[in-house]
Amino acid sequence: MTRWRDPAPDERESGERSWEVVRRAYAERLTAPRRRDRRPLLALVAAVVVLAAALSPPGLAVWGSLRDAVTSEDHLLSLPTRGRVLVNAQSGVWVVDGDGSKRFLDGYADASWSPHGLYLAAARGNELVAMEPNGHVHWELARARPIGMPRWSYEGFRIAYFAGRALRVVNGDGTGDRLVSPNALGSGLPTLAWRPGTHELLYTDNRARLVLRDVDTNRILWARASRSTEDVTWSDDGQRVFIADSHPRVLDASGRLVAAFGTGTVLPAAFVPHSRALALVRNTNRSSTVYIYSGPRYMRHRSVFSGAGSFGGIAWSPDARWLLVDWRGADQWLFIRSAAVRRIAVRNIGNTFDSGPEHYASLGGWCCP
Amino acid sequence: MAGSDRGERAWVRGAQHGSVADLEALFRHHWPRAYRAAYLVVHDSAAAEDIAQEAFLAAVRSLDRFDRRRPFAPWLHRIVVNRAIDWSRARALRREAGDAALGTIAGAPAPGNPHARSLASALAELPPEQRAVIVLRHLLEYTPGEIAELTGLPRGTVNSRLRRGLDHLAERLGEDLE
Repeated sequence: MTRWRDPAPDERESGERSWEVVRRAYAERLTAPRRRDRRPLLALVAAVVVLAAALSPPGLAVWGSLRDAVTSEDHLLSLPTRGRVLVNAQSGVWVVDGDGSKRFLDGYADASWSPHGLYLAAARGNELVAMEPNGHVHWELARARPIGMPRWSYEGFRIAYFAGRALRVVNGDGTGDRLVSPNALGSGLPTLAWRPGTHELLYTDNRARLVLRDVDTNRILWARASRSTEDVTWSDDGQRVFIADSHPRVLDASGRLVAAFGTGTVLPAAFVPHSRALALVRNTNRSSTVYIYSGPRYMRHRSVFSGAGSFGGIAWSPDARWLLVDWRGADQWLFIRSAAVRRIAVRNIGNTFDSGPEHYASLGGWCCP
Repeated sequence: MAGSDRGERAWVRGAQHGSVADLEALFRHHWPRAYRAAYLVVHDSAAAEDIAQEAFLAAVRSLDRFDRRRPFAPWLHRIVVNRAIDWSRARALRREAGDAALGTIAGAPAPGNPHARSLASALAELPPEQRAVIVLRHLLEYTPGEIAELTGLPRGTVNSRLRRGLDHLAERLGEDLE
């Protein structure tokens, strides 16, 4: 069957021409913030409401059965405990308050909480923006390259972020912006995480290494080989870090191995607040299971929840009593009480955050008491 | 299915974060198969270029929504193959209306290319839906089950189209393609 692998006529030349077209479209996408057009959805909702009102009891029944399918009905009416949840959606950022009220911050992306939940850092094209959760902007910083993954240090005095392939740090008040690494975005995924209680930043560099660097002294504290790193996350005490790559593992603060979790994808993962126990998701045979691993070497583990399809993200409530599982396969958020297993399922999440039935909105964190 | 590895996820994620280099890596990795698949269905290089290019533009437009945990290739190939089928049907209608020359001129094959000599011309004798199934199976290496999922066809229909198409190709090319 070698002929299937032979190039078709004009394959290479057409590829060069098309790459130029695609590259230009991509550049325009980066410079033009997207705006949502809700008009078609509103028209549909209005039509259904009129129809339902015209038909009394049967109409209400029809309305009830249709509403999940064709409207953006919001089932997320409250959070089970204190705090606010951040959601990075297709066209902006949502802030969900404890009473279920939501604020949409149009055109922002990749938002993260400041340590006490008073501010957000977010990307808007080539701008880094620090703002209050109500959308009031405190400061903006424009760079030549698109901004990604802004993350606050433990006390809010530093924000690390990507500008194109460069890793940079700016003070929490928007001053003192400086370069940490000119080419930190290698062939792996962009990953960075502040070590709590320090100004030490763990990231993957363009040599497929995990690097822990003190950004104040610009000194590299350690570096370890790590191929295909997808995520890194620290325990609250800064003594354990989970590395999600082809050999998922927990390291101590010096980069020494504490525990390994075999091979395969074990994402998402999140340390239990104020603890070194770790919640992580394993994907097998088209289903996903949340486990909680504990003990000095993470030898103890228990299954918390299994479901078909993938889990897009997990987040602990600030009081560590609830685990939020973004169950994409079922278009649900599942709040699981961590002590006595109790579940609250919130459906229609894709429409709640205006990102469609196969929702792509991702959890940005659950903060703060 | 090829192309659903970690490198691909890294490119998608990088492109979502503004890396032109990662977008280019993704493009260059997938262009040959996307273009070739389109070409083998439409048998017209200009149309194949438009179809594959439009699929990548759709990918750029949807980049923020794309779930990195899902493989990129099936999503791209679904767009390519469906558009190629649509284009082939439209061309058939144009031919009925007397506009056959456009496609023929644009699709003039390069001499010496094996696609031009045999495979593409043998495929061109099949209906576009049958071509698409053969291309998905033998160029893009999807299983019949995956093809059924990609095209929305019943598994039995996929199998019968594959069987009939392969019989035809074997007869025309003088060899068993399986």
